[in-house]
Amino acid sequence: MTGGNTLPDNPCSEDSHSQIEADDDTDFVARCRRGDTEAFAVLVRRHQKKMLNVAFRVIGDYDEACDVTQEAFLSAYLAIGKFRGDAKFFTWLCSIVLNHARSHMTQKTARSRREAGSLDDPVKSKDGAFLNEALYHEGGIVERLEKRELEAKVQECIGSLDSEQKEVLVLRDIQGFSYEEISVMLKLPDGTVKSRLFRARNALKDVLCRVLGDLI
Amino acid sequence: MTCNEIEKLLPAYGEDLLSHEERVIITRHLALCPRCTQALVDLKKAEKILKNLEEVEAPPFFEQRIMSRVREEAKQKQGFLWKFFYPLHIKVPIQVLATLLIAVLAFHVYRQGEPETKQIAPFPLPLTELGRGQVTATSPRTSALSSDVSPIRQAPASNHHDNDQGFFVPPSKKGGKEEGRVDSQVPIREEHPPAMKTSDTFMAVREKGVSPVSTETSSKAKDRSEKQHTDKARETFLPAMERKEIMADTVAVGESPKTMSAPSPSGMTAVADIKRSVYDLTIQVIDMDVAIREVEARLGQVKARIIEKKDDKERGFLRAEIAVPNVATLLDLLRAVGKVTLEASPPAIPDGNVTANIKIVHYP
Repeated sequence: MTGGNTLPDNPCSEDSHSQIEADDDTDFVARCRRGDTEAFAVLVRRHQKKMLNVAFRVIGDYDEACDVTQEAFLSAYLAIGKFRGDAKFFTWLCSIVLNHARSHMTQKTARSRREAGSLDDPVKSKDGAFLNEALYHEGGIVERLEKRELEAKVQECIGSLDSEQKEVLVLRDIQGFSYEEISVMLKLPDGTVKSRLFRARNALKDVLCRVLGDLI
Repeated sequence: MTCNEIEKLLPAYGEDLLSHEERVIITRHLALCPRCTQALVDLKKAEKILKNLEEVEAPPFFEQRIMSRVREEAKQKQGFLWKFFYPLHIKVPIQVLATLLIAVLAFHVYRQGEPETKQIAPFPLPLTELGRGQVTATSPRTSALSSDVSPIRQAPASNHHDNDQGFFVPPSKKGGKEEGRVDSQVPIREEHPPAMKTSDTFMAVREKGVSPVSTETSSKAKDRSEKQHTDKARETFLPAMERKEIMADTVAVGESPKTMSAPSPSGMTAVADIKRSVYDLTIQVIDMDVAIREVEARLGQVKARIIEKKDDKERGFLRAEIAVPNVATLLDLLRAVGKVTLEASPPAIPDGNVTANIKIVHYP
């Protein structure tokens, strides 16, 4: 078994396309600074999907991810004057999304602690498995395809990770950012990013093995 | 290396990020340890699962939702001036109209609500009168003054005196006693000496120290209502002799001739002084500073309004406006301050306000 560089061949053609577009963001950013909202609309069109996916993988809830992404774009527009252009706009935008997602998760955790747990909430056993999983997915379990069910479980497993590990894992293994970009986004040294990622991968592997049994 | 240590390094091993030694050690260990080999396989599978996760799609109109919020914020971000003037084609005309309306209202209020302004406004003269050498409503006064100035200039002035009756009198006020007197002295549209050219008129005005502006003002004031004309005519047309007396009094108390013949603003004030009655007092005192304070206090006691105050080491001057009933009281009070000499007093006035010019001189 050779340990080849399996990542990041993750970015698909669409990602590479968006990477090319990201290089063209400079002009639109300059126009945005002059108050051109239409230029910002172009940037939103380009990056909305990627940003939504980042938020969704970190938060784990689609609607909440939409709200967070929307707020992040708004913040980006308001703070675009502070964007110095040292990094790519795309990277800067992603860090804003991550910040919003992080604060959202913090608020969500605090809220769930204050409120009494619902009987319908998923209950984790000591080994991380969801005991009342069937009840939790009762709403649409009949219609769910096997793949979507698997994805939901994987997402739940990702959500069970430590927030720091989760962010690195999402950015690297799901979104395919380079270590350098992740370092800029999280304002962390390269080595810290890597060690955090390796721990995250091991942790996810363990959770997935517990939840799914044999990995496919 | 133990299995746990190997397992921790497996992700880095998968990305080929280890040193050559570490890599050799792990490769050898994996060949011997099925548990660690399985862990590496699971790690690869987990990575594969993550790679195969489908991207979620943005909801419909997601971009529009974001941009509506952005545009909303962008509007709020705009500065005050931008908000004030946008859209220009609507706001600017409204603002111009509003400004004009306010200006017109302010002018109207000023004209309606300033009785003093009306009082001191010069009496209008028809242009035909100007052409015949008449000057303005202030001309009687200036002519009276000019008689003291230069004999050369006396001729037109005396000529003007003779033509005092040449003022325009509105026909509606002929019935009263006063009007009767005026009528007897002022025949309307009487024949006058040959007219002066307009330029001559202005020269005459300048020589007499009256601003041409007052002439213009008088021609503008011509447009006022008939009632105002009549009232002003009644006020202005004091008998010539009485006016001369007042003027002589004013000059006698030492009011600066410069002030008397100053251009229009002070000239207009002087006209107002003529219309009011004037008391001229001289108080001889020992201590100037104390005396001035005392006089001010006495004026305050009789509710007089101090209009002007001049003060130096040798002389002091106070001009005050005082109600007629309080004049006698004021005189009594001032006698306590020093030796009071009443140099000039107006004819008996039943009511209203009078002006008191109080000179305070040092008594050696």
